[in-house]
Amino acid sequence: MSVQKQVISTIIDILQLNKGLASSLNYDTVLLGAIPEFDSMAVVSILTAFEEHYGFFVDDDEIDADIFQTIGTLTDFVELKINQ
Amino acid sequence: MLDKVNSLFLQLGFFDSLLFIFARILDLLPFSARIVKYYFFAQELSQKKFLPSTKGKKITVSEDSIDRILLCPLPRPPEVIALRYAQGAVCMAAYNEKKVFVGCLWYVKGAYEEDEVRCLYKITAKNALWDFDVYVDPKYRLSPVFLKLWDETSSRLFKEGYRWSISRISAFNSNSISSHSRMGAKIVGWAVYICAGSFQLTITNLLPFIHISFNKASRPTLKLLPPRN
Repeated sequence: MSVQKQVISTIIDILQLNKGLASSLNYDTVLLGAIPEFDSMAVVSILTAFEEHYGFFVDDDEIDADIFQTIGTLTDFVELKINQ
Repeated sequence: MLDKVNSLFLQLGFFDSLLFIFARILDLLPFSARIVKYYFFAQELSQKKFLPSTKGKKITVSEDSIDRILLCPLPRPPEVIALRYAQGAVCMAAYNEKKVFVGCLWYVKGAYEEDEVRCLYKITAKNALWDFDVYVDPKYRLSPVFLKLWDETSSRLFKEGYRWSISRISAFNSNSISSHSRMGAKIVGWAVYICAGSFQLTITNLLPFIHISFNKASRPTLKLLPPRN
């Protein structure tokens, strides 16, 4: 599964998004401010899921709003962490 | 426009959306009138943490004195903070590794005097208390600060014998309602306040169900109980 598909799948699972919204997610989908469920609890759950899946670690200092702007920025961040 | 209305009704439900629209119309009128609706949520306290052990390790949480909290960049007027301490409220504050204030939450045992409308909330169960005004510095809104604050406070209160914390959330704040619901909080009541000048009509599903007041000295007392397991 590509990183982007994994990111989308994780977000759908953790935020329990309805089918309509889930099927519309793509690289440009805005997360922060557009999906009400996207709060600090969701961020921690999503990052923990990525850590477990890919085996990297995200320090608290790395958590920044810019990463969670869109599916694309989050995918880029995960790819960066995988390649570090 | 239609999308916004649809989204509103999806997020708040039919009745709360109508109330929200009515409240916004009142805001536009030239006289002082407003509608406020709160849901009362009970959150179970526990020593089980929401935050994984690998996160939030650099954040420390401690009970702060009034002298210390007044020095923090908390966007609340000093007189409001003083009033909270006078009520017996406790402020749990979070600091980052550089000892910079990053957020806080408050709780009080017994009763809480509402500060947005006229109402007294009485927590009658011995194993429950009232929490209010969770604040996280905007720079840390996505960080583990909130969960660290909650976990530490919950664990501390659990050790003191408390099992439930009750709070009120605006019925028009779907984000906060969603967050509380995902943390497992349960609705234990609601109240609508219709205020115009010094007049206040309170309608609630808790005793006394309806209360009318015409001056500051008169306000309802709502007794709040945690859910029965």
